[in-house]
Amino acid sequence: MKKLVLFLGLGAAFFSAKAQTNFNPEIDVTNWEPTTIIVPSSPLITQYLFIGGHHKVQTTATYGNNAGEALAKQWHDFIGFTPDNAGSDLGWISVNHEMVVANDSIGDGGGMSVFKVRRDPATDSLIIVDQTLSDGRQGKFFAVDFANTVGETGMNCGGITAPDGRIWTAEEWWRGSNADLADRDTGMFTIGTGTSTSPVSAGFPAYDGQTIAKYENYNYMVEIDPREAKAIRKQYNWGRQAFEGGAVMPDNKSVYLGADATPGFFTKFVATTAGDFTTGTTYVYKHDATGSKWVEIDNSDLNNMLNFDARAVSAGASMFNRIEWVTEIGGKVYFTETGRDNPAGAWAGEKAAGAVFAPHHLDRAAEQSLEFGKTISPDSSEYWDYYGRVMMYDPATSQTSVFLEGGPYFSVDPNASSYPDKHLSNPDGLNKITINGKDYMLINEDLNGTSKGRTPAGISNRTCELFMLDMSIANPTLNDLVRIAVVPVGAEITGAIGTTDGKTILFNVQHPSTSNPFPFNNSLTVAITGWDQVTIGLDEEAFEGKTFEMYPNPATRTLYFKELSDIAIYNVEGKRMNVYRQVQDIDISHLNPGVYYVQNTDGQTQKLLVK
Amino acid sequence: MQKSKLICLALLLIGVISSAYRAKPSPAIELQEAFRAKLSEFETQIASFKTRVGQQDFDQGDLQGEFLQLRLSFKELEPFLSYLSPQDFNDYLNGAPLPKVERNAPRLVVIEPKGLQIMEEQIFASADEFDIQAIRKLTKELLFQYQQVQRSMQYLRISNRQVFETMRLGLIRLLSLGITGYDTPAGREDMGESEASWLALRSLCEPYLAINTNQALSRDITKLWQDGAQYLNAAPNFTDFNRADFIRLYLDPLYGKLYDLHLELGYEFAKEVYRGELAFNYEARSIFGQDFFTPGYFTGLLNTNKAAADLGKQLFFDPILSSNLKRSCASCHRPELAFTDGYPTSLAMDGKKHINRNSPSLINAIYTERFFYDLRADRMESQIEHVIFNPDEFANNYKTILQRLNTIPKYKEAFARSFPEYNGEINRQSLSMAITAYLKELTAFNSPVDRYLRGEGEVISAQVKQGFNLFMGKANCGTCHFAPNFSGLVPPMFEESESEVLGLLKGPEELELDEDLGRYTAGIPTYEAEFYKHSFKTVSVRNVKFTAPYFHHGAYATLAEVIEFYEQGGGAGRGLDVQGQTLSSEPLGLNSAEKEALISFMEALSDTSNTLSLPRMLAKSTNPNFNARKVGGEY
Repeated sequence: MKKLVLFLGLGAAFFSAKAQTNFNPEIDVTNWEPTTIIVPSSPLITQYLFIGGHHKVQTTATYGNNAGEALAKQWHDFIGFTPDNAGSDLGWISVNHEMVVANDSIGDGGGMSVFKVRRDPATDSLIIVDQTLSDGRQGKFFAVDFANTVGETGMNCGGITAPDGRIWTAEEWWRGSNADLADRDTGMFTIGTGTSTSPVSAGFPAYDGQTIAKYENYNYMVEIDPREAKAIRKQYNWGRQAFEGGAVMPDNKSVYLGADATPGFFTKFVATTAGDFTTGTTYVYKHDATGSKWVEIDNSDLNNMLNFDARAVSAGASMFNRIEWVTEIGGKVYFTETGRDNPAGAWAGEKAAGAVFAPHHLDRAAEQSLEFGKTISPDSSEYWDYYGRVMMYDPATSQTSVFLEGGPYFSVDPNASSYPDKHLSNPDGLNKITINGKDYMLINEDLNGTSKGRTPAGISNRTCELFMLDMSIANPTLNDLVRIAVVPVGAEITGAIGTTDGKTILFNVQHPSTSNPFPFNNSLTVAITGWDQVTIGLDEEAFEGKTFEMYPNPATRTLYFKELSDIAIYNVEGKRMNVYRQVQDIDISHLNPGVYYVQNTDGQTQKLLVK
Repeated sequence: MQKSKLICLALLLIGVISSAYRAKPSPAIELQEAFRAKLSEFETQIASFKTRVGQQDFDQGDLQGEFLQLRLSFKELEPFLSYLSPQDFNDYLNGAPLPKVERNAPRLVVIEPKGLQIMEEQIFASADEFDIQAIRKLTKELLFQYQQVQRSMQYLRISNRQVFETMRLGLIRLLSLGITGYDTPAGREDMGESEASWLALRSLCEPYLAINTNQALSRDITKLWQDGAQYLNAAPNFTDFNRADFIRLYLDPLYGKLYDLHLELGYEFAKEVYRGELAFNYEARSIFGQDFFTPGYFTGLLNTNKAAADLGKQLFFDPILSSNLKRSCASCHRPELAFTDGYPTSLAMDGKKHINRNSPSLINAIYTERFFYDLRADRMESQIEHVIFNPDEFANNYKTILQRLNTIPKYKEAFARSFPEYNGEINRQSLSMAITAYLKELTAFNSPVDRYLRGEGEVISAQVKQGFNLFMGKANCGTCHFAPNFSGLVPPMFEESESEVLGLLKGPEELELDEDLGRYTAGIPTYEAEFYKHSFKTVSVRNVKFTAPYFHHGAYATLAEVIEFYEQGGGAGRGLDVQGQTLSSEPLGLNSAEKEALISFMEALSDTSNTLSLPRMLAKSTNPNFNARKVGGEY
């Protein structure tokens, strides 16, 4: 019998080299007991905590309207987590809203919402806590007041969770003039007092009283207080940039910041006194500087901060292609560079004016020179950057390097018979979780397009993905990424962050297809709890000594195969319900408890019992 | 022992059955090889065209001839290229010759059009506008981007399922973007490209016919390909091509039969591969079928919920939703006018003023990516909200509405029955879901024209037929009002809705531009590009017989006036300075019989059959103050 199977297997293997598997629409499953693989129920608990456009947030008195409540804005992006170290609750969750929309009660622009959670002692799931803030607002969800404190906010994308839980939000979408504002008030803005019609309460010690155009009051990192749902201050001294992300280091003095632009500059701020970020020195990164790689941009002159990019260019700073989020893991700084398909002329002017390309772009250009058979530089029209990457900056050496390259690119050898089924494209959100003492990086995709292999060709699933990466792996490759597979159709997944106890990953589902059934047609803040109880990815030994070739991870609802294969899933009656081609693992989160059959390219069929 | 033998036998048996099926050849493999070979040939062709335009001595006429050859070759690749890499196809190879906004960028960046369509415009430009430098640049860019796409195609494994989707989407593309001239903006008269597309699709089908054992089906399909090819080959020219016959006799029947063949051969379907909904129903056998679109994709309501639809209908006609209890949705969307109101712009709350824009029809209104003339709402729910909150419309809020609905026992009961998931609670979601469920029923694709094109034995007059042929051809209507919805819902995937800059005038008798900025002022940062100024959603022309007056400002009282506006090439055609008019400013050259035929066709494109009934009465409230409500409101 064994011989026969082997023979059949060989035949099929030979056949599949020149053909692809045609899976029979139906198989006969009567009187037949194949090997059964059991998928236990997942110990992970999924909760939809905060639904945009559905949950109501408590607002302050704004634009002459009374305090009250309003529907939460949509387009959730960054999530900040502030542990409740003094109290008995778990902590505060702060959520960015990237969508810019006028709102009479919350305030114009994007904004943030905050809420507080505790753990259910029995299940570890999260419970949203009722709060009364010191301004008298009561409820579960609160709109962060920007309008009355710092003069409104912009498209709120990434942000910072400092080691002690302080929160900053990044105002990304670049405002070039007052004409870019759909705001109700475009008067001159005085730091500390606001405009003539809209006063503000918060200023900035070094710049109070200085007057700027209204649009120049956007594109900062803005600190907020999640406990009181109020903005604290715009961080004018970190420069006015198309900010996306940042990280405060464990010393509580150094801050690394990234700007989402081409060119985007890598910025550092060092506070004079730990924890006081209103006074300190601002630098921009120049990898080829002699001596320190950090060139100071004098923040005592507000003009330098307002025109930060121009100062960075004059300083000959290193240019990146859209820096997104920044995070600190084990003393090193990681940041995503999301890429831009053909940056071409976008940074040619800056180069001519003295800025320099980050070294990995020069390396990439050199590789592409081989590809195109002529000399390419990062500002050539041919230069491409379809997939982006995760970068690493080592404070010990002051060097940046590519930590994990996006892709893979299909280029040089198209004969690769097994093009990988794992593809990392345009990484954007970046954060960490420490589970049972082990660090994992959380990488969120936000695709710049669906072409060039970023999504499967033809009719396909356009979902962005969330990956986990075990940071103990020395030289990680794309194959080391573990996919967390729970996102509705059409959505961007973003904001992923771990709670400090390592049990829950919080993430946002942003702008899912509006035709999904409720609540999946809205932006969602999702909590998945129980990571301390499960295996992430697949044990190395999973396939060892097994004749059978599939193995489930019940927690992430992933079915792994020993080899790359075409796969069909049949229902309990033997009717074909799913076909996958050239995969090594598949998401089976759609399979309700029950019996299924799984057939591979070689025609071997196994029974799958999903619990 | 005995038992284990049995199992072995059963295993063997299954092995035999499935290997018999599995041993069938996979035409996709050879088609993929052929496609790759063609890809490299075409690269050589672009390269030689690039050399040609780079030469100092060139003749515009010669370049045009060579460009047309290039396009003919492209048509052979088009089915797979457009299917496998739709984004690159539209961005770089053969997209509309219009600027767009960079996707997913941190600021507004306008990207100029690239690819064969804009090249065609340039190469066929009048001698004084002919710009060889621009053409050289575009050709260089085409070659580069094509090479990138080609490279990305090398690792792809095309499956048989994908070939079938390619063929059927190819037919939709040919119908809506090919024979209408969308693809060939220079206004050429030959039908060669359509014929080339047809033959390219046919060549994808042939290997499947060879392995199909259902002889009758193969025979039918073979004949349709052959006869259709002959019909295209014998086509007189673009102007006189009889599209109605071509679709009815060949293209649409083939669309159905290719589904039969897919099913017959047992290959997997998209629903086994893709977990989301598609905008179109792959199982529909006719492009003009009543089941062609997928209401679930557009509304999020995947299952039929009759109770919810009935409730939604009651709510639609109930003035309980407006602050003064006198206006309902039906105030501006009257069933007898295909859910419009007959006013140039709708009557405001005070009964005197008028709001800014014309009331659009609600029949088939769910089949869109976004709502409102300026595309500001991304879902029906926010569309409804804009009306509820607008001080000139319902001037109301959710709190009041929900309180009032809770005083009406019948509604409470109906909500509980329709949406058991909310345990009897009436909320924003269930309110908008109920109304959406009603709108989902307001779909109608059963006009005489639909029936005729589906080959159902319906007879349409020669004038209607001529009108259809003009609409889809010489009069250039179908290049924005895409079949089969005849709206800006873009084929072949139907996921995106377009808007256009027409250079609208304040009225047919005025030579002054309308001032409404449209999409540009929708309040969405990525719409704040210059080319969205005065840009408005392309609505469907279905049921226009009932929806006068026309355009977003309702300043055109009759279809004749509308056609005259287009005849003259919009505002730019009238000599006004219109920035970025997307409508050609060239006169259409329609004679009066042709204009009448167009009107006849549009009037025949009417089906309001399932949409006319009103509720007899409104449910009673426990609060007597609410019980003077009239069905549909008072004004």
